[in-house]
Amino acid sequence: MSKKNRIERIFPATTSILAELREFVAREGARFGLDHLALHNLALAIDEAATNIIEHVLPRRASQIMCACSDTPNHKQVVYEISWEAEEAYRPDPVPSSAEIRRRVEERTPGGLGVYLIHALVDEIEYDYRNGRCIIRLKKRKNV
Amino acid sequence: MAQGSRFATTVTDTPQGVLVIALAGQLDAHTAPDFERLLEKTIREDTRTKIVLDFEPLEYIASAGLGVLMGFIEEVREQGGDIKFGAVPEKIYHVLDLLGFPIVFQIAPTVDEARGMFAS
Repeated sequence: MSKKNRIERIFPATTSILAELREFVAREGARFGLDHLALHNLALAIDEAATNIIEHVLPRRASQIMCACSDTPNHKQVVYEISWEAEEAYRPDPVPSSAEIRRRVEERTPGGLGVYLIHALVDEIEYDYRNGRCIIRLKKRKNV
Repeated sequence: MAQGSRFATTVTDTPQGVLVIALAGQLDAHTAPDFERLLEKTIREDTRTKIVLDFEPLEYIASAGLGVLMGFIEEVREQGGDIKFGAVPEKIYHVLDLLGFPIVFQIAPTVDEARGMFAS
């Protein structure tokens, strides 16, 4: 992956940046050739991931999150990374099944909607920890 | 009109006691508390329980906004009312459908049809 194919941006870890984060995701994804629906779905998935990190992993800390966007060498996928400094690896919540999420909605139990959406709206998701940073990597295939 | 940073609502009283709340802009974890306060005031202080949400001007909704709706629907129905959705843009409908919201909430193609559901 060449350096020029990767764009990074740092945001304060507060929900007031979510709109700006989504704009970044959409702008850079469009530059790499994602269509309108893919951009909407990615912006939502990254918003949900960032919201979870900001509200549940980094509360009450003067923290930052970084969002990076890159094209794969074969230009078939766009890869986004959300990362933040941490002393240990991030342990994501289990992903509810489609049936489980529908049951929760019917029973008005809102937990798990965000993590379900993240997994439903991207093609691949990876969790990584390296050099003192937790990384959530979300991949979306280009519709070519 | 209640203003959030990038979220706004317009409330219109219509015949048969149906309140139409138009949602505009972006409803996410930052703006969802504005929406929650509006519904709290509408339902608990103003005791209005026949509500149509006009989604047409809404550009974006995240799970935080959907969680607000889930938090009020039972309370409204216990009082004989309902929250119905009208004019939901396709990309937002896709999100609602993924989560099974059409099973719980009645969704009409237009705001007028959503209002009409209260009469039927």
